[in-house]
Amino acid sequence: MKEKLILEMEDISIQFPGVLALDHARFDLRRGEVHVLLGENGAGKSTIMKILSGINTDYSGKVIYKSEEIQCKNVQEQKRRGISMIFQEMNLLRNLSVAENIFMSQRPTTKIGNIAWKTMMKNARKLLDSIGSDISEKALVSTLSVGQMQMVEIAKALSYESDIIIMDEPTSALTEKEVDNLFRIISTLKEEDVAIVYISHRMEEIMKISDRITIFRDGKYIATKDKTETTIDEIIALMVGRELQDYYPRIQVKPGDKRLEVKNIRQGNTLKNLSFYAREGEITGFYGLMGAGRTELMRAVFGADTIDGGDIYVNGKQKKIRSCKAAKDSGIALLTEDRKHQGLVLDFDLNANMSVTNLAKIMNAFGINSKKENRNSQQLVDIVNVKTPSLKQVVKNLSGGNQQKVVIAKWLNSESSIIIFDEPTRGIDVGSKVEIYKLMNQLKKEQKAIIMVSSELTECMGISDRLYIMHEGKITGCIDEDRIRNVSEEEIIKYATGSADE
Amino acid sequence: MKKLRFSINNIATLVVLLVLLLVMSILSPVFFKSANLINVMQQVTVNAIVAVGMTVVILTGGIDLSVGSIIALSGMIMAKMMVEGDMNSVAAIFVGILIGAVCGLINGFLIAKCKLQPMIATLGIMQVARGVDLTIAQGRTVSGFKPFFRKIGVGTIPGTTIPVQIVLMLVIYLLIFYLLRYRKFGRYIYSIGGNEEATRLSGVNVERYKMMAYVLCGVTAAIASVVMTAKLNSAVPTAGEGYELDAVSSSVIGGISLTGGVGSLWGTLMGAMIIGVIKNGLNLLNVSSYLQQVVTGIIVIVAVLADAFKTKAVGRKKSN
Amino acid sequence: MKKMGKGLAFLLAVVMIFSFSACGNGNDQTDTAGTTDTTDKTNDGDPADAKADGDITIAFIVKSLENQFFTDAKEGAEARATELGININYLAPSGGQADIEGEVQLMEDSIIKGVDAIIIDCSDNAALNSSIKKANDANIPVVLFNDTVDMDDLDALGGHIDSYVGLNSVEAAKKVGEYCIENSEPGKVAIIEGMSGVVASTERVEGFKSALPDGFEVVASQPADWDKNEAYNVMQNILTANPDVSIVWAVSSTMGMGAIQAIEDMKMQDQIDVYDFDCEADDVKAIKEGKLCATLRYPTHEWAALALDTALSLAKGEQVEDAVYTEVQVITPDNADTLN
Repeated sequence: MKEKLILEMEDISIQFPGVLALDHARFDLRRGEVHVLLGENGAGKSTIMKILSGINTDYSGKVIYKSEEIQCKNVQEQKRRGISMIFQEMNLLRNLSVAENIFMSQRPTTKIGNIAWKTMMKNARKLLDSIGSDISEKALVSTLSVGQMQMVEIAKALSYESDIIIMDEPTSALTEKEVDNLFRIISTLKEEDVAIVYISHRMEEIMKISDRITIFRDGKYIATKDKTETTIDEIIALMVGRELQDYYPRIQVKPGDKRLEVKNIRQGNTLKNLSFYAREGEITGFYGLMGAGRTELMRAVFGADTIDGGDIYVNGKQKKIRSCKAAKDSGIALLTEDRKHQGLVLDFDLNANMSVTNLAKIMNAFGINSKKENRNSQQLVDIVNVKTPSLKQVVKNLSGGNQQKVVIAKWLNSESSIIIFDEPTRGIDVGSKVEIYKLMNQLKKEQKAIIMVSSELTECMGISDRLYIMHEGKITGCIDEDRIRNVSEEEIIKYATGSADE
Repeated sequence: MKKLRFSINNIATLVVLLVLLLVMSILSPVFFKSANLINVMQQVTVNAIVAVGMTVVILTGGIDLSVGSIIALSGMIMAKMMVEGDMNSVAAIFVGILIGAVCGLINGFLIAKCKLQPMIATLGIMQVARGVDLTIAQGRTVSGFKPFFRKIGVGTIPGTTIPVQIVLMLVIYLLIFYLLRYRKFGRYIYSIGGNEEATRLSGVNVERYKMMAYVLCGVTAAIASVVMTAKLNSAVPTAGEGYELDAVSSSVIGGISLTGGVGSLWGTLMGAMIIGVIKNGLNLLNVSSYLQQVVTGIIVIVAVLADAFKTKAVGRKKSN
Repeated sequence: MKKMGKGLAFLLAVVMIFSFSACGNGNDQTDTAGTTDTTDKTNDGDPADAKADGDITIAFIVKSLENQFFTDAKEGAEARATELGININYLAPSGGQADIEGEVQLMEDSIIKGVDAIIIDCSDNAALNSSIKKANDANIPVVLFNDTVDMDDLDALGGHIDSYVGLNSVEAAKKVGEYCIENSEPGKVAIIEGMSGVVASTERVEGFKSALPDGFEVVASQPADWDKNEAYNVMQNILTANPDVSIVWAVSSTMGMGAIQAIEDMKMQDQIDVYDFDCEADDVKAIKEGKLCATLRYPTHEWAALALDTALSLAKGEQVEDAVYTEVQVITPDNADTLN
C-alpha cells in the first residue's frame, strides 16, 4: 500500500485572522485513486488543497510528495511538480481560444521566441482528444458551456502532466450528460495512474465516483473510509459530528386550501399551457432536468418576466401580476436560483439586505429606526440561524449556506404566505441543507404554501408533499400526497425526460 | 452599507478639505477672512445644489448630463415670465421648478421605462433643452427682476451676514439627507444602485424610484438656477454650460461611487466645497490660467483614482 | 473646477454623433425673403460671372445661433443680400457650437448644391479643412468669417481660402486700452479672461495690455470660461485679494456683466472702471447707466455684409484682399446714444 502513496500531508496547520483554519490535519493520496474530500463549509477541505496547490503558503507541517519532502511555495512550482487545481469559478480567459488557455503559462515558442501557434494548436488537440472531448481547440472560451469549460480546465491540468488533479465542486454547474462525461474522463485518468482529489457535497456522486472518502470537520481530520465499507449515513454523521435522524426531515402537516393556483400559463416557447396549485401547509416540489422551464415558470408567477397568457389566483382571488411588486403585494415571495446576483446586494450588510422587503416594520413617525431595524434583523437571524459576526457584516463574505439563509430571512421578513424556493440547497453543505429543510418544515407548520424547485431527485422525493415534474415547458407528471412516499425514481425520471405515456 | 454617517470615505474627504483650508490660509493672507469664507460658500452654493440631485441619480447607478441645460432653460423661462409676463416672483419660481421637474421626468421616463442608457438619454435632453432655451432667448439676456426675487441671490438672514442662499443650500442638504437615510425612498435608491435586479426581484418598483431620482435632479437644477439667476440679476442663454461636470466631480470627490449604491450626501457637500476652495484659492493667488488647466486635470484624475482606490480598499477591508 | 472647454465639447459632440446619427439633419436653414429658389447648378470651371445677380446663391455658415452675435450677423447678411439682390442661405448646425460634425455637413451640402460662394465661421480650427478643400476642388470660393483655421494643416491638405473677413482682436482690444488710459487714472488692473488657451481670449487680453503704460499695473488675470456666474465669482475673489483694483478688463460682454454685478454687490462701483468687449445690448444699457466705461463694438451687421460683399466679388471672379478687417468702434458714454 505504501508504495502506491503519491502524497502524504502530515500535521498541517494554518492560521487565518481570527480562526485556526487547519488544526494538525492530515491527508494522503494514492496513485490512480479518486479520493473524495468531504466536510461542511469551513471544515478546511478547500484550505488544505489550496496549501497543496501552492496558494496558501503560510502553513506548518510536512508535505511528502513522491517520497520526498517538499515545500509548497507557489502555484507555478506546484504545477511543474505535477499538482494542479481546478476551481469552481474557473480561471479561464474568455477572450482567448481554448488552446491559448490550456497553454496559458507555458506557451510553446519558436527559436526566436515567438509563439509557435501550430505546435500549440496541435498539442491542445492531443490533450483534448486524450480526454475524449470534441471541443475545437480554436474555439473562444466565451462560446463554451460550463461543462465544456471544465474540460478545458482538465486539459490545462493535463498539459502539466499532472499526477495530482484537485477538483473543487466540479459538477455543481454541469448537466447530467456533462457529469457522465466528466466521470468517464476521471476513469481514463485513473487508468493512467493520475490521482484525483474530489471535493463535493453531492452524496450520490460521491458514492458513485470515489474510492476513498476523507472527512474533515472544524479544520481537523476526522476519518478516512473506503467507499465500499461505508454508507451515506455514516459519512454524514462523521461530517456533522452527530447522528442525523433523517437526512430529509419530513413532518406531517394537514394541508389546507389552495393558496396559489395557476392556470394555463403561456410564455413563448418556454412555457406551454401550464397549470398547477400549491396548498397551505404543504411543500409542493418541482422536479425536472435543466431546461425544463421550472425557473421560468416561477419567475412568471412572481411577475419577474412577462407572460403571453394565463391566470393566477391567490387565495381564490384572481390577481394581475405584472411586476414583482404586484406579486409581493399579493403575498408571493421568490428566492431566486441565483442567490448571489439576484437575491442579494453583495456589497451591503445583513440589515440592508433583509429590511428591504418590509421597511414599514422598522419605521416610526420620523423614519427608519435603526434600533427597530437591528432588533428585527436579529430576530430574523436567530430564526434562520445565520452564522455571522454582526448584522453589519457585508454579505459578500458569508458562506454560501449563510448567504442563502439571509435570502430566506429577507423573505420571512415580508411575511409572505406563498414562498417559492428555487434550488435552495444548491452548493450548500449538508449541515446547512438540513437547517433549510427544517426551516421549510417550520413554515409548513405556520400554514404557508411552500414551492420548491430542485434538480436533486432525492431531495424532491424526500421533502415534497406533492411533486410536479416538468419537461420542456410542460408539466408532464404530478405525484400527489398519497403516492409521494412510494413513487419510484424511475417513474419520475420518465416524466422528466418526457418518455412517460400521458 | 457605506452610507454611515462618517465612514472612512467621508473622513478622508474631510481631511482633504481641512488640509486645503490650511494650505490656502497659509498661501493667501485674505483667504481665512470671514468675508472671503462667506464668498466661498456662496460661490459653492449653485454647484452644491445641483450636486444634490446629481448625487441621488448617481446613487441609482445613473448620471444626468442635462443639468446645465435645465439650469439655462428653467432660468430663461422664469426670467421671461417675470419680466415679460409680469408674473410675480413666487409664481415664476414655481414655474421654473416645474420646468426642471418636467425635464427630469422625461429623463426618468427614457431611462427607467424605455431602458435607455442614462448617459445617452440625458445627453439628448441636454441638447434639446439647450435648443429650446436658445430658441426662446433668441440670443438675448433677460434682466430686471423684482426685489423679492433678487433677495434670494443677495439677501442675508435678517440680523446676520449669512446669505440666504447658503441657508437654502443647507436646508436642501438636510432635507435630502433625511430622505436618503430615514425614508423608504433612500433605502430603495441605495439598493437599486447596489444591485438593481436584486432590488426589483425583492418587490420594489424600481422604475418608479429611478424616475423620482431624475425628477429630483431636475428640480435641484432648477432651484440652483433660481439662486444663480437672482444673484446675477439676469438669465443668460448660455448659462450652466459644463455645470454637469462640477456636479459629478463634487459627488465623486465626495465618495459617491459612479457605479451606484455607495456614498453619503455630506461627502458631496464636502466635494463641492473642495472644488470651490480650490477655485477661490486659484483666483486669490492669481495662478496663471494655463496652470489652472493643469490643476483642473489633476483634480479630475485624483478624483477618479480616489474613487477606484476607495472601491478597492473597501473591498479589501471587507474581505477579512 | 474650470469647465473642460473645447476638448470635452468635442468629445461630447462625438458621442452625440453616434447617438443621433439616425436623427438626420435638423439644421437651421433660412432662405432670404423673396428669393427662395436655388436651382441646382453643376459647377463647371468658371465662376458664375455669366449669371445674373439674382441667380447667385451664397451659403453663410456659422457655428451656432446661440448668441446675439450670430443673430445680428444673420440680420446684416440677409439685409445686404436683399440689397444686392442675391440669394443667401444662412445656416447653423442644430447642435450649436459643439456640433462640429453638423457644421461639416452643412458645408458639404452647400458644396453639393453648387452654391456660388461659401462664407464660413469655423467652430474648429482643423475639422472643416477637408471640406474647405472640397469646396476648392468644386471651384467654390471660400471666405472665412470671424474665426481662423489652422493654415498649415489646410496647406498640407492642399486647400486654401480665398479671403478672411475678420476682426483684428488684438487691435480692437488695444483701442479699448487706449481709451482706458485716457479715461481712467493710473492704477491696479484686473483682467477677466475667457477660456484659457483660446485665441480670441488671448488676443483680447494681450491687445488691451499692449496699450497700458507704466502706472497701470496688472495685478490679477484670471479665466472665467466666458460664463457670467464664473465671472461674478472670479471678480469677487480678485477684489478680495486686491481690494485696491481700480480698472477691470473683461474680454466678453457676458463676463463683463457678471463682473459688474459682483462689483455692485460689493459696493465698489465708485472706485472701479470696467471695460469689456462685444457691445451687446446689455453693454449699451450699462454704459448709459454709468456702470460700464466702454466696450468694443464690431458692427456685426456691417461685418456680415462685408463678408457677403467679399464673397460676391469672388463669385464674380474678381480679386479681393487676402484679409479684410471689419471696422471696430469703441463705444463710450459719448457715443452710446447713437445706438439703441
